[in-house]
Amino acid sequence: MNKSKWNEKNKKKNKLTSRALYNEQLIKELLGNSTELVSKQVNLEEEESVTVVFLYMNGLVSQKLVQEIILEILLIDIGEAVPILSNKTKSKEDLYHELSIIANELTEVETIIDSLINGKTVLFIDGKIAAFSIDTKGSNTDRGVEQNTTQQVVRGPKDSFTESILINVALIRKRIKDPSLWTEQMVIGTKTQTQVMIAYIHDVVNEDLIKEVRSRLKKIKVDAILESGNIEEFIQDQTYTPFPTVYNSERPDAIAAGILEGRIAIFIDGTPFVLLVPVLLINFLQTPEDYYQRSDIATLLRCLRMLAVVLSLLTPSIYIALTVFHQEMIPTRLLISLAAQREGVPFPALVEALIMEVTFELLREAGIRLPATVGSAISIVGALVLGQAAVDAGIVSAMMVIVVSITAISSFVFPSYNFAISLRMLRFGFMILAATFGFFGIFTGLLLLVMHLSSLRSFGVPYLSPFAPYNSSDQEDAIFRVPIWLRDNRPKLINQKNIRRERSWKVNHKK
Amino acid sequence: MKEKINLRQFMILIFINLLGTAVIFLPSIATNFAKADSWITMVITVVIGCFVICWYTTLFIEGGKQNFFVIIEQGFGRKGGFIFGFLFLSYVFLNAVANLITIGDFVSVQVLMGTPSKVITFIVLCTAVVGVRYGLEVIARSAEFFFSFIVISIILLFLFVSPKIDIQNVFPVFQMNQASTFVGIIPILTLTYLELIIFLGIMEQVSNKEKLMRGYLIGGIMGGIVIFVVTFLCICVLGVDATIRQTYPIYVLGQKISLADFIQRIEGIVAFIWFFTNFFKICISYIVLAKGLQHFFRFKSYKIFIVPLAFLIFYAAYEGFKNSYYIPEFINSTYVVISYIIAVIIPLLLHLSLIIKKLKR
Repeated sequence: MNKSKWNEKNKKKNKLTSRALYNEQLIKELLGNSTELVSKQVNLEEEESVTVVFLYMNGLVSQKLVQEIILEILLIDIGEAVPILSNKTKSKEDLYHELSIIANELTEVETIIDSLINGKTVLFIDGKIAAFSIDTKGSNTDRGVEQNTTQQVVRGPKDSFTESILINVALIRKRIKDPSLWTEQMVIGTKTQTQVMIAYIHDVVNEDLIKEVRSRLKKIKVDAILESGNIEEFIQDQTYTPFPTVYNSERPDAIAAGILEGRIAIFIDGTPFVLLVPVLLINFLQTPEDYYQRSDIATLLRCLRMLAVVLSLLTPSIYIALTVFHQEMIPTRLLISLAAQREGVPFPALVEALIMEVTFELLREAGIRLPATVGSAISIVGALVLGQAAVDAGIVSAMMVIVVSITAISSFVFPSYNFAISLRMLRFGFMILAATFGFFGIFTGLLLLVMHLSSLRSFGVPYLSPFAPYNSSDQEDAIFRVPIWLRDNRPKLINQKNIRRERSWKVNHKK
Repeated sequence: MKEKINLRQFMILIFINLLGTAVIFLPSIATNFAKADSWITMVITVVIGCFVICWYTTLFIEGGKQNFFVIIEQGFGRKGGFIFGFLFLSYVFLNAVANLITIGDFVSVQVLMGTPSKVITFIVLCTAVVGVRYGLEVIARSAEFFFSFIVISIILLFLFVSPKIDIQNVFPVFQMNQASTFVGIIPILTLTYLELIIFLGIMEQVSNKEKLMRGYLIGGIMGGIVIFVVTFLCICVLGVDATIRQTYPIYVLGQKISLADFIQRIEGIVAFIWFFTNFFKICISYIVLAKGLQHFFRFKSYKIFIVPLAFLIFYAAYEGFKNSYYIPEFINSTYVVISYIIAVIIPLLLHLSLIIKKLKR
């Protein structure tokens, strides 16, 4: 009640007038006299002096562009073929004429402020109850396209997305030069006014999927979106799950490949991480590089990653189960040497494993946060804590060190960081299950895990497909990566229409 | 939205259900009757089982391919349907409880010595509650996911054990115990194919009903082959006497594995196969039980029955289990009678009344 009254009052006050200087003052007040708001006044050389005021936000605009525009608009062009500017200003009528071509006329104060914040230059002219806005966006905050840092490849394009949404979309357009690559824009976040774009190939993508993505994005009511992670939390199917149901990547080729398969990419201004939906569990175990290497190598590497999933999830728990409950399954000589190692260790296997795993997780977390200059310190300390010194001190057995190392190495294999984190979390659960019920506990945990995974969906697509529900045609790009000329179909569950990929290359190949 | 499972998932569930208890008990029971000829008993059982499957499918089609409990009400009328439906449900309940008991007994005797079987029962039941709450679709998908691992484990078991085969153990073929070779079929059928009547409860949720019979049969035959091979291996590797003496001969089979002096005693494989198949068996019984109650009490969702049923099942498993010797005793006596009443006589009556009603019209 009170608030709306205040708004109304404010609205009445916030009216443009025909005086440029007054308008300038009004805008300045509304922006709280922020220092980066720059205003410049020019008087037109006419009978009675007409004041023109330029306003722009310093840092959001390109200085060079603003200067050029100011001069070009104001000064009379006396060149013939090449524009040469004189030192005389234009008349008012000429100015209006010029502005009507290159500028937008704005009458609302809110839209004027919006355009200022978006890096436009605003002009007020005496005698006009309106403002003209000219796009001078060119912030020097953008960094160029650089090599990516999160998903490295040996072979493949090295560029990565940047913080600017337009550059990101352009990087995709550069790869998919198809008129059916459509984008839609929306603005999310009442305070941040973050630009969000969805991109898809119109004649491949499933209509319902676009509708679903659109409606989920529209439902977001929040004041700030700072990173794609914020959007991800709003649009994912299920919140309480350790597994990510939205894919993110910094690599334009990965996103382009996803779009070509009929998925939808979600670009968010201000972050180099672009989202891709829907996504399956198996996608987190694939890298874009799989498609650039020979198919047999890629298949082998994928099998290796599957093994890494099992190892990073279960190695410590299998060790615990074997040493605590199922000694009979260990070959006798190994058992004797194990028993000898564990003789001096004062802790039960679970505590031993927990100590080492937690230490390792601490080291890893510290390694990420540390500045590069002190990075070497952590590796020295880490080698002591997780190495021979720990064994010599009699806290853990040598076998445990090996177990932790295997777990650690295999958890670095995954191309996707957020998937690795989920496995890291679940590993501790499995360790406790193994310590209480041995293999029976591990089996129970696996059952629960798989049931949870099969209950998950990412934008309606079962998370475990193409394994459950089984889909024989999608197997060609799940664990196996068949040669590209054999890969005829796009993933079936993701898009129902236009399933066949183009196969012209295959025809040539067969000739 | 109605939960649907596809034909492949249905087939896998049939396969898994057949293996469930059977793979661990059957070799010993069959050999007890037919001695060295128990593999012949198995072959005949599979053939008869195929007919049983065909009959159940025809019954389902005759009833209009709808919810089995609706079919029962159609055949016996509202009140009769209630009575027979509850008889059927009590059988399903018994099945769930029996499987739970065997899992608890097996794990506490063979895998986790010293852990009370009640605790195992409780853990498995809790897992099953989670599964049933997720619904049939999720259970079917999980079964599908584990299917390949189960098949790989079975093949590995066969391969690893195969060097130990002594073919002399099966001889003489069909010379002694001719009569008991056929008598053995009676209890074995109850543990395998007659239990598949439970699937009538979820059959209406199969999406592709035209090929239902095919999926049902393939699953049945695949399961039958595995049971046959397991029995055959038990006789060949362990010999007749040892197979009869052991409660869990297949587990002993796993213990016999020794490859290159390193891969030894991986009975874990057997435990894996058996634990997972039995778990899904419990889940299916559980879900049919809940769905039956939902139908007879006219509830909108079956999920409301899940937790109360869990208490009932746990109590029954807690009280019903006296000791390990009781299980084979029960399987060979009471269970045979109950099975034939519920899985043969009642469907027969139902089928007859459906046909009569059809003729009247």
